[in-house]
Amino acid sequence: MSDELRLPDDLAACEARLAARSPAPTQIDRDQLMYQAGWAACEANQSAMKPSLLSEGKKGQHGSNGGKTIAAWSFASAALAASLAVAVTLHLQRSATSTLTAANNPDAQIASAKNDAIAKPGVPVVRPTAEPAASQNNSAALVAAVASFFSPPAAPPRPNTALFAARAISVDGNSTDAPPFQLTSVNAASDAAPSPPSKTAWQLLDEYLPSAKKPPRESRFFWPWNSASLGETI
Amino acid sequence: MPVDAALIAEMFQRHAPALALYARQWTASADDCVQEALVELARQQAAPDNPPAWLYRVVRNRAMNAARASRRRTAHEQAAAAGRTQSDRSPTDSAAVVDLEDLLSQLEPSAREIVVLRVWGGLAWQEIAEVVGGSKSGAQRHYVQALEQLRNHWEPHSCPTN
Repeated sequence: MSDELRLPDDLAACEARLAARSPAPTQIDRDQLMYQAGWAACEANQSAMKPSLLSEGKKGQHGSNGGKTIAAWSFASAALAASLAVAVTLHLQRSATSTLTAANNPDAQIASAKNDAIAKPGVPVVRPTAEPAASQNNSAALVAAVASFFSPPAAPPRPNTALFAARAISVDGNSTDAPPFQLTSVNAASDAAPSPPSKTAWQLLDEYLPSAKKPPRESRFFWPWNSASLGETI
Repeated sequence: MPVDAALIAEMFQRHAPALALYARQWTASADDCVQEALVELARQQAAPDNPPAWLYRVVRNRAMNAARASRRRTAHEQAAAAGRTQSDRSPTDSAAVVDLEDLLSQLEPSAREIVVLRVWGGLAWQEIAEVVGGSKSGAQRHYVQALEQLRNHWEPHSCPTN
């Protein structure tokens, strides 16, 4: 049969008579129907928004910074904080390691600076007597300055100070050459020379490496311990 | 076209009686099926291409499900449901409406739904075929046979009058 059904006249008349009869009206409450339809539409919109918020890379509607975005930012912040803590810890360890390495080096002046800073009566102090090379002088001085920066001036005597002195003494006793360092005993009551005022790392860098590129003094980050005296924070 | 309140109201006003007549072929709770179908239409994110055809399909599925649920009940409840079906007709219904129900009840189920879809639903033949799950030519054939049966039932050589 064709798409458009062609009925005989009698059947077409019967069809027309049928169409003239109206079906029975429903008992459906229109207001209740519209109320339920509105509720259903709201629930459908909310359920459609939830998957969009949780899916990756899916463009959401209003409020697209949903749960997963917040969780990603939290994880990123925590990871950044952890990496900063690890970096600071490693930096401190490297500085302590470099301090120990410089102390074992006879050409270094780190022992003198450290012993001067934490001099103790009766403990032999290693003082440099010979003038090292000019090229090594600056680097050694810089290392000593960094070490003095990290070593508190008023800190209690370190356990390894005697070890440095003992090693220096052993070097002095076993070698026939002129020792690079000459032991002198420090007597605080008699001939203890006043220690030079300690310098900050910035001052030492300006003094020994004036041409070096220095990082900005002011930190970009706000450290809680840098807050104002009144306790003002961000 | 988004699904908004205007569309729901229009579908309710134009097609609710025909939808109920269509569902009454399977179940006595035809109004419930129609209401559920309209609420389901409101849940859609986007309006279907042909909302009336979509509604007839949904009403058909729900009415059939309701019929299957009622058949699982005991024989006593099924008899009571049949009695309620006849009493569902409001006493204020006109005789023409009652006669229409009786008239359509004489048709085969497949032919009856095709007649309702074509005469009061206004669906195209292809849409009718999709709703009933058959072919277009088969739907047309059943329709012609239903008209002939109705014509012969009323009077062998004339059409029924109001």
